[in-house]
Amino acid sequence: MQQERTVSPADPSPMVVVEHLVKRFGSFNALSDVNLEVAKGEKIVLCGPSGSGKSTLIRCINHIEKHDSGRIVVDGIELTDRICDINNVRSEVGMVFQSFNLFPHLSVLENCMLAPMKVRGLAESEAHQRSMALLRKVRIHDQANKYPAQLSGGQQQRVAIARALCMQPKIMLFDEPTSALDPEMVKEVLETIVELAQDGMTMVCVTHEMGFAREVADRVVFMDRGSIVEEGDPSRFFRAPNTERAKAFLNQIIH
Amino acid sequence: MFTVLLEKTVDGQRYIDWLVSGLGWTLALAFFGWWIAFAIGVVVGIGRTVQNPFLRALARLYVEIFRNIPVLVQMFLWYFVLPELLPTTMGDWIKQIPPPWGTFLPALWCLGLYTAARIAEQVRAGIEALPRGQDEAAAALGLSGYLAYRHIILPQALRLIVPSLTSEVMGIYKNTSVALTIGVMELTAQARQISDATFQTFAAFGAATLIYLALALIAYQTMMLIDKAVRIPGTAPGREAGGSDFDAVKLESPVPNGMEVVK
Repeated sequence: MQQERTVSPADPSPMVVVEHLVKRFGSFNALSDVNLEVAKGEKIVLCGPSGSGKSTLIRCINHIEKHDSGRIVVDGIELTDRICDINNVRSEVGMVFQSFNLFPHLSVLENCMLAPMKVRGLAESEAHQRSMALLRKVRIHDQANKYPAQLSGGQQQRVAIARALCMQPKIMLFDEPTSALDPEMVKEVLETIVELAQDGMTMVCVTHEMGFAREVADRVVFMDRGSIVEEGDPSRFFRAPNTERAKAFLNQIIH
Repeated sequence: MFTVLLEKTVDGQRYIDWLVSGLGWTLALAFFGWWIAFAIGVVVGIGRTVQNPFLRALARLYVEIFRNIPVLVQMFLWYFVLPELLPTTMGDWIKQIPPPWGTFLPALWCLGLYTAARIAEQVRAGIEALPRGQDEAAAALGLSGYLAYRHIILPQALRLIVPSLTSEVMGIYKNTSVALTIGVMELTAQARQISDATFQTFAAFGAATLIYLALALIAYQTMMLIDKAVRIPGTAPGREAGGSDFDAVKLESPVPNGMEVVK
């Protein structure tokens, strides 16, 4: 297994540690013995064929899926079954879903303000200010009073990013953020994520956008059948993957 | 043909006053019964969807008991049987509640609990019809348990079931007529009294029928307005509550079958 660390983290303690992670769905091994470490400020792109376990892996990191064995430590907090640990971790981890999952009955602004007020206990004025600032950052502040169904897919996904950022997470997880978008909307969402990366946000992104991976990723992690098969520097990985499985995969997605 | 209603009764009123009084009791039963049913129904419906298996079983038990016993039998149980089951002092106390409350309260309670079981199933179906992503997004933001239900799940589920709750609203007010069996002088009871006193059966029950029909239309229109008022901007109108297994809603209502149909 290739180990090429391109980051030189100022803070040596990792943001996420995943050790010997196993996740089963019935008799199907979604993840078998996965080990991954994400340094502070590091940007990781996870790729692999469908069903390879990449989404399951990041969903385990904030305990949307419960893992069967192994350890997950996020910013020093180990994920156990204890509710307070789960909620502590979740409020430090921002997540963006493939299908946006905005709350349709709340306006864009309310989508952003809800969790900071109810979970973090922010005053309304402060939550409002923070939400507007982040909506401006993703260039959607002029739609703040609209409802999700009144926005395009790309706009909705940018709102979802702003909503996650409103909790001031230490790490952002992206689960195929552009897969459900019309082609002409992919760019606006990717640009938003690139900007976020440039601000130094730690992120793990499941995506097949190779241009994006080259531009942003410090490390590409390739998964297949529930385990990490290969990882490395994106320029090298896309040019000359080490494993046959990665080669086959890249041949399939690069037309 | 309804002129008999304007005639004087033996007690110096007109027969129409009896009907108005009956209408008052019918509306009171339906209105207060509805809020009892809605409050309990939402709680039990949530109970059907929580993770805790004990609470889930308890909610299920409630639904199975109150939904599967005929409402007439429930009426008798609350009115005749309950006071006998309780300790003598409590039973006597209940029996001594002065009329009309001595019959009104058991009827109200009975209709409320029965309808609650039906509403609970609607609420459960509404919650289960929401996309899983809503739960996940709420959880990912740290909103779990109470906060997720309060701010994310219930507001959406309740909007979704407004059309099917329409039939529950109409159901409870039609079921109020069962209360006559324990002696509540509601609309049907008054109609029967007029019929007995005047032998004008057609006029008495005809008037009651028209009043019931008018009420049904008002209830239906009101629910349509509520549905419109709470609709989420940008979503299509007439959105179907795509629940899994709503219990079969009887198409017994006198209104045109528009939004009432669940499946």
